[in-house]
Amino acid sequence: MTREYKTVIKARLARLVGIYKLSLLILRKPFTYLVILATILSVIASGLNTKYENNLVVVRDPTITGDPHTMLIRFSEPVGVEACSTLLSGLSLEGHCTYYYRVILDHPYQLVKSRKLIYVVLGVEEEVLKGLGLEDGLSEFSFGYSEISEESATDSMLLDGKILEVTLVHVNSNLLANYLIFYKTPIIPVQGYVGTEPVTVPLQHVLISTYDNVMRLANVSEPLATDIVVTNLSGFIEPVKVFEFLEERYPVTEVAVTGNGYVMYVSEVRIPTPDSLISAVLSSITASIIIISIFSSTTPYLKELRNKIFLMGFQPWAMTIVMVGYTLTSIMFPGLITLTYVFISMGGASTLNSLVTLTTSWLTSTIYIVLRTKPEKLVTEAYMPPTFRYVLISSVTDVRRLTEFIVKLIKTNEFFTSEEVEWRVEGNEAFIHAKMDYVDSWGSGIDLTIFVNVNGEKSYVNISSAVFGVEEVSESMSRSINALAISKIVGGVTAWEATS
Amino acid sequence: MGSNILMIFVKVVTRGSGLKVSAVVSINLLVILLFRNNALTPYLTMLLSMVASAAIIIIDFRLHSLLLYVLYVYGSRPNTVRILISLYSLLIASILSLPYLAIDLMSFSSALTSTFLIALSTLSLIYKNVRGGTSIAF
Repeated sequence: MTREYKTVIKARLARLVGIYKLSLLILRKPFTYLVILATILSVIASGLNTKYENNLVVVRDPTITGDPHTMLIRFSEPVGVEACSTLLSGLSLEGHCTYYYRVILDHPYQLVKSRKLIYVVLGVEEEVLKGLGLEDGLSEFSFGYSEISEESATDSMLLDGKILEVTLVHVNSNLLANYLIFYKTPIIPVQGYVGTEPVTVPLQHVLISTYDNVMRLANVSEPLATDIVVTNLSGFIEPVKVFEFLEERYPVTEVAVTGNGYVMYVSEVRIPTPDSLISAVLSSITASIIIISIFSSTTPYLKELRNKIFLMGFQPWAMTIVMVGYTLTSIMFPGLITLTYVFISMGGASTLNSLVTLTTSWLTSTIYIVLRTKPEKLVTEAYMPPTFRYVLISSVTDVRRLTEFIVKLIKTNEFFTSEEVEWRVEGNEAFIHAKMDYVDSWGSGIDLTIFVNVNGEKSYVNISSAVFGVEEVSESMSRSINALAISKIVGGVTAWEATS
Repeated sequence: MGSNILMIFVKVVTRGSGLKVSAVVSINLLVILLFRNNALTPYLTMLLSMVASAAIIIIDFRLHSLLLYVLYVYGSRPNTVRILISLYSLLIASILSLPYLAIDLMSFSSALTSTFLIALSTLSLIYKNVRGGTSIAF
């Protein structure tokens, strides 16, 4: 590793360490605790105040006749078939219940002779089987299968390590693929959608049979259902009411009811109400007001800090990074932890509300503090002093000490490597010459000539500089190099004078 | 002289940000309480009021220092200053507990009392804090 490269790395690390130390300095101030508290409380308040409602979707289609009404109820896991009678009696309704047991298997059954894997098993009532062309019904361990050419065939089915002799009865593939249990809801479970078209499991992996047969296969004693269709309803009922009634008792995922020219769907997806969104916005306003007020009172301190670091040669963006880092650490970090707590304890809808609060508070606070600590005039403040000649008047009258300190400042400037530094003190006067190479750009640097003169109770430090480069140095680069070299001396001497 | 001191106090209080911040926070909390649907919300907003009252100490710190200094220059006794600062605390505490009073006094009597006392005690720190800050020994 070359010496120049090491110096560049050292200079950049020094800046990083400087920014880190500055961030720590602000973060340790007592007002940070208030900012953290305000954020946490408003995020929780927003989550607590969330009111949500189930997602209601209405699909309009003039071909749908809503008289008599039909209702579809879907469950996330199989439930007892008494769910339908409980619902009808609970809501004082009348209707005819049709049960469906439709499961996608985690571990497929295997048809040994046919060499097929079965992923979907459908248990349906006799009337559905008749609709699929199986008028004679299915005897014990007989299953409808569309992928056999003969009317019926025997096969061995491997399930859970056991072999079961079954009879496969041919079922019309077109009828099975197009059989709908409800509006645009095929009997074969839907795996996804391409556009609006449902994608179902291929028929070669589907077995259909009577309820009794499928219950024997599933090894359960009482009949279970994953979907219930209620036809011939005595009247229209709000699907939201049905959903609210069922969700207290069963793992319901969707309720759909047909009306005249439309179908209403209510799903388990919950969305916050407008009222609770207002509450979230108000919580964020409250947090923002408290945080911004705290920031506004600390602005003089932060501006003072900014001016000090500029004198030390930091760029204007250093303060922006420090402030954004500060708001990230004091607002976003505790906010995200609180958000995780809200998600675990209150659910998704509350988290959305809390997220609105957190994001709004963080954005407003960050924008405010960054704008307030930004230099009024970026260029003049950033490249202070922009002149190539600078006279510094100091109260330090020991010319040797002053000269040695300036030489030290030149040698320790992290933005430059000192190629040569020479000085001479004679009586009340001193002369310093330094040639410094800029570490961030190869082949450019600055030539400093400093004349120190003590006259009575004051000393005068005359700094002259000339920026050089093996290639043409741009004006902004030249000003930057000049400012970085001179400001280190001016700032260093001023601070040293104040503390010594 | 008494009227002069009172005038200075009123001007400082009305021009400071603390009173405005507490008023805005109070209005926000009132609306949050109106839209509440959780039994814990009043207590959570109470904690937010506490944070706001603590923030007011920081917000108006310089102004309070100035007020104390001016009162000292005017020849006020320490007890007068204590009374004025207590009055200010009382005012802020009342504003911050207003939402509970406006919604329903009986339902939120515990939250109201707690908010009032917390705000009052937090703001009483102003006196101690500011006195330390200005290095005025009474």
